[in-house]
Amino acid sequence: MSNKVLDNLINDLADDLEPVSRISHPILRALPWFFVSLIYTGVVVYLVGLRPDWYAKLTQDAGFIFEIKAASLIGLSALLCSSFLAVPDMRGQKWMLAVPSTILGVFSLWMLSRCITEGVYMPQMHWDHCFTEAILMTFVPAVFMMFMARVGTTTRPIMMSFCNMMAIASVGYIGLRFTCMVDTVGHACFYHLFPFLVLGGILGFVARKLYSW
Amino acid sequence: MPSAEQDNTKITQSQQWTLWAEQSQCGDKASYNKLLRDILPFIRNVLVGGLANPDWADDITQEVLVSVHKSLKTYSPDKPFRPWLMAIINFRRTDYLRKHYNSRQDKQTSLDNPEFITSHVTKDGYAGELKDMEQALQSLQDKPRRIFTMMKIEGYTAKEVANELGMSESAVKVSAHRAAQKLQKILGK
Repeated sequence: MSNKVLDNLINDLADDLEPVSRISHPILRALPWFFVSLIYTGVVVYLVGLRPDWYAKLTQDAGFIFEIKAASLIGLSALLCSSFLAVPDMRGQKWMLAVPSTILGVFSLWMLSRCITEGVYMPQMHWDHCFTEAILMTFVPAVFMMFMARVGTTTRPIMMSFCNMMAIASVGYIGLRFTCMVDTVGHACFYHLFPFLVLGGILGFVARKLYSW
Repeated sequence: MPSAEQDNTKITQSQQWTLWAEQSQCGDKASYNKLLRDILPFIRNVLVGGLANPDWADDITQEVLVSVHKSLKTYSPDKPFRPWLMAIINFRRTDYLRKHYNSRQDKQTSLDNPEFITSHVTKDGYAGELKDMEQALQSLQDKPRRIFTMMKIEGYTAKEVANELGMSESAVKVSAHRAAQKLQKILGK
């Protein structure tokens, strides 16, 4: 390719230039998703039906409180990471990626310790009501997240896909903990987390196409 | 009091790029043209050192320039321009190399490439062998060539070729045999 080709390209790009509106600060961009997801999932949880002991669980069950807090922190930090990832250099905040990954690690260790102490059993797999509720709870946040992510130009599509999935899965997991009465670790792993894991894997494979620009 | 021109000389390259990028976001075509021309040698210098084939640098440079154009809205003037540009350069370089190696372009070469012939063909006297074979095939008539190609190169059976071309199986076999004999004659073996 000669210099002439690059010269022509630069001239063409300069001729095509239109005033652009800068995308907002990542934190500001994350806020609408946060509030929409919070309200939407809250409404779905209310319509599906809160578990009768939710208040007692939220005030007395340390394990339940830990899970809700960990899932909230994962969701929030993953949302912020996703928003920063929409800018090619993440505005110099690459360290942020360590936050959701670390909390996810802690959460995984917690689930593992539960598996060891409570004992793992393989529940009989069938189309559980939890699947339907998870789809209901995460549909709008997932679609909203997809549109939000495509506004930016990420240079780390797979990491963005991972963060998006963590944020969406957190919303679904928290919602399901407030509706589903089954507290066993086997049920939580296979019915509350496994579907998101599968979906995350699929999204990881198509991430480059999904977030191409 | 220093003049405005003297002040300008004190601006570093990175600050200048930031300024031009900010003006470009407002639609200033002249500043944008200057910005792209000024970052061009920087992009090339970054790329050339790390590529197996220096010719790829121009292709990737072109993609980087287009990417800068597409993602101009994501640049924030309160942050330095160079890290933003470097992120795009690294992304496009990785993307280019991934596509290149995935499509196995590194395994392909032209038979006209003398370097390949010298380094990969063991008998120099037969360097043009594959090309001669192609020329010999071209000398056949269309139908025998098609039959020979389908049976001897693509691996179809005589019956499949016969069905495809609407001929009898024995006619296909005879045609393939005659084509092989003619090729032997042409190639002198």
